[in-house]
Amino acid sequence: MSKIFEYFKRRKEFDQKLENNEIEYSSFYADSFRRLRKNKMAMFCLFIILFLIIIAIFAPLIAPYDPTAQDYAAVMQKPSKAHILGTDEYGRDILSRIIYGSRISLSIGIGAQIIASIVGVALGSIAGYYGGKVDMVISRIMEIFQSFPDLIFAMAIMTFLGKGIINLFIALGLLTWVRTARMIRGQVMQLRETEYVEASRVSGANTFWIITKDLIPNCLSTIIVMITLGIPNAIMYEASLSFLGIGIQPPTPSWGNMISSAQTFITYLPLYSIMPGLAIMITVIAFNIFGDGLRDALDPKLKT
Amino acid sequence: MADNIIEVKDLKTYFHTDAGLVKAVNGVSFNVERGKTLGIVGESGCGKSITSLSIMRLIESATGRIEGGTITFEGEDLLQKSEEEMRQIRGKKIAMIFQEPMTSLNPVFTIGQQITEALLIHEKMTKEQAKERAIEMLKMVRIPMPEKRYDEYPHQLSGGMRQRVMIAMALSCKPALLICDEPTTALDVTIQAQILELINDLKEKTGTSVMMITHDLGVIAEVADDVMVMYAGKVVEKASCDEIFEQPLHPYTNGLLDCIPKLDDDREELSTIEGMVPSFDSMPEGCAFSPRCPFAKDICRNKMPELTQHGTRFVRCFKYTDEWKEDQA
Amino acid sequence: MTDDSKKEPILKVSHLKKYFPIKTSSLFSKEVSYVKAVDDVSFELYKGETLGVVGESGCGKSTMGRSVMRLIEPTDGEVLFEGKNFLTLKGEELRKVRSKMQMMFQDPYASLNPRMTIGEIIAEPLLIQKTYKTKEEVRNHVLKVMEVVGLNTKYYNRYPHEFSGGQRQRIGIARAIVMSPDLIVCDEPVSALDVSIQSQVINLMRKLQKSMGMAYIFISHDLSVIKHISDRVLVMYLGQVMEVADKNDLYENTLHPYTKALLSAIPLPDRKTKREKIILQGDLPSPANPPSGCVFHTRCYMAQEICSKEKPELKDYGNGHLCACHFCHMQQE
Repeated sequence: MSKIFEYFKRRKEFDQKLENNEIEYSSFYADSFRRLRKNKMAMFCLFIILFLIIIAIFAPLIAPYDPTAQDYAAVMQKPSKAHILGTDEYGRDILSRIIYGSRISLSIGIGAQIIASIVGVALGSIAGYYGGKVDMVISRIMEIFQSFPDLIFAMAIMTFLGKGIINLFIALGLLTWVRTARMIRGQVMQLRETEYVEASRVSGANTFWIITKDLIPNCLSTIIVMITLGIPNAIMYEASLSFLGIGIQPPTPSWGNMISSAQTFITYLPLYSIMPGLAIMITVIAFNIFGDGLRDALDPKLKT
Repeated sequence: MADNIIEVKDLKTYFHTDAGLVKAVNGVSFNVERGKTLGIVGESGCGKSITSLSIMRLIESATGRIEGGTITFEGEDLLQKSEEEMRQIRGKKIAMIFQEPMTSLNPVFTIGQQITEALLIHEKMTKEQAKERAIEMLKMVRIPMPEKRYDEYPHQLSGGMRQRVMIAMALSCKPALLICDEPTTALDVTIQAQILELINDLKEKTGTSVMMITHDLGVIAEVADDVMVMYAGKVVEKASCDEIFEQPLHPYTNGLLDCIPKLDDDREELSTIEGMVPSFDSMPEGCAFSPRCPFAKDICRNKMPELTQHGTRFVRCFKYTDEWKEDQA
Repeated sequence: MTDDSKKEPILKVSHLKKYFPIKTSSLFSKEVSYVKAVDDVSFELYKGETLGVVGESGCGKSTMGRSVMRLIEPTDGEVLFEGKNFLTLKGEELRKVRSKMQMMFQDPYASLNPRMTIGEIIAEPLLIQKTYKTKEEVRNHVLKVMEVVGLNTKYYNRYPHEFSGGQRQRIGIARAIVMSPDLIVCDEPVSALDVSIQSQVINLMRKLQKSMGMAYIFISHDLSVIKHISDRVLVMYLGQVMEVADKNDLYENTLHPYTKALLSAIPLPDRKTKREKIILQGDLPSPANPPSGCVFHTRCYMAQEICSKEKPELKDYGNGHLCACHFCHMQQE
């Protein structure tokens, strides 16, 4: 804990010195971070995200009840002192289920995005760098993947693979890699003509070196932003799939399947469906606003 | 008194950026005589382009502002005019051509459309009259087959041609003053020679006064009647063109002339001006050129010299003041 | 410089050609026409010498420089580097030979990877060629090179955006010399710099050449700069060689009409000397559709009928002064 405080203190000192022109060097990322901190809304959303992550990690310590513990004596209860948000049709505490649900949403959202990014970056950079036939083949593959309506595609994959968390990761990964691949392909095509890439080739660098040392680091900001903005998408997809019954299965709590179960009881216990919905909304909005702020901070064109 | 078409007094244009206050143009004064060419020379960052944009009042951005001075054109102060009034002046009374003809022309309109646009805005003409005048202008700038070129798009023309089109557009409304901001820097040397000859020619024919902004002293020698040298946002020397080349007074002008590799010069090593132009946030106290000046004394480092007159010339340097002899350091 | 060292050129370029195909329609057409960016260029370069390559835009000088380095693969021709056929090398052998040739670029802002510190940028060739085993050795070498080019070693960890144009060119120079190459192709290295910085960089390049003995191919459009740094000069127009000569010979005893026009078109910072100005009419023809016979004849003030019919050969007019013009001999006294 104290280490975290120390880190923030050092950060603040560093910034002060930078303002006073005592230290002159700063890396691109330090500069970007400074710009980011000036964006109050983005920082606020960052804290919300960090808060959610902490909740997800420490769920067992925070949740008042075991989310799968059924209590037939306390079925469909309105909010009370014992159950702050009430209970569902099996007597499980809604609040605890929401807290545990964050684990699912966040891990799937972040995990699927990372998988998608790795695949997307690899294929996009190869397509962009080589061009010609390689590019043609990969682009056609990307178009095939993109030609399906997203949700139906995910449903088809899940039906094919069967239910389960790993399959959900795969399905969501397959869904979103194309967006990243396209962006990276475009950037790589632009960057491969730059003179510093030529300089590396003149020194005898092979393709692998150029892609990993010259091209990808310059795409890093794009990659980071795509991951950040892709997470809320993945969360929405997971919620939708779980809502439709194809994603996470009960009793594991997922915000999506909670909303699904809550449909029947919407007039009786509206909180049951509103709360998970609110949770999704807050998470998605926070990631989106933070992602936007991150993109503005990392965009070198805005650098003074 | 000379007949001046434009008189700029103590112009100040500052930019308020995240990183600090940039005094791009910091107290610049000059005149352009009717029918003559004033050359403004300086390296990157000296403020010459911003000066011309300030005259045209094209600096209205979030961070840049004209903070002071007067620009007297045809008896009126341009800085007091409203945007609407400025629009009447731009293109009609004062015209400007830029360095990159590639980006100054709209790629989706034909040449003809772009020239006549200026005419139709400023003068009451029918479309046919405008077209006639446009073709006349194209002839005047020596574009072969002007009727054919009228319907062509910018990408179909070479760089030299595009610059000629820019000149045609600029002169179409017969402005009193033509401002050229590095018009030939992006062109090949043989095309540059053509364009400079053209500008000189047109100046004779139409009587337009010209402000030629460039970093190339060779271009200045070709076209300018009077010369103004800028450094770090201030004027450091003003003289007639002959005077500047015969005997440059300011150490910076001297250094610039010296370090240009010349065709008839067989020295092993080129002269240099040590150091670099100071960045806006590390401007020295006193004369901005003092860190690089081979003659700098203490007084130069502590006090900013004033622009003083020497006969018909002006120079901003302590070497030419009485205080110089007093300071032995 | 004895005659022995001049015997074998370190670089011999013969009939180098680079044609870029222009596809007219998309799927099924064959390539109908070509942009002849480099059209039969030959020259030799000796150890420690500077060959200036001058010409205007579209003359192919940059393409030629890149073709010689195999950044662009030439369509035809032969490049012998230190006796070896450079164009047929592959893989490991190619990588080894590449350590002996380097390049300097025009744009000080685009030629450095913005995400790498300048220490890493200068070290990159060493790392690619795996010259050293430890990081320490690499770092020491880089620091030494930084001193030689006049960069303060405390800047080792800084990023390119923190430097001015002139300093970035120095970083580019440091990267080019870090492997002690025998040949450096410099593509307009000072064109984007202010005049007062240009002279600093040119002086540095000459100093390095004297101490390290490498040969330069110095590509530029600025004849004054070329005169200062070159030993011999090659003039190109529309992908072809117009004239090659020793520096002084070219400027004092110009043979080719194009070179004469170029020289007279340079605006001189001098109000006194009156020169006869040769102003060429017309524009550069398109390299996709070059004129017949002598490519310069459409703008040549001396053109006769034969010029549009027959392409003049590059002939030697004594002292290694080559000229491709039907009427060169008339210029000689």
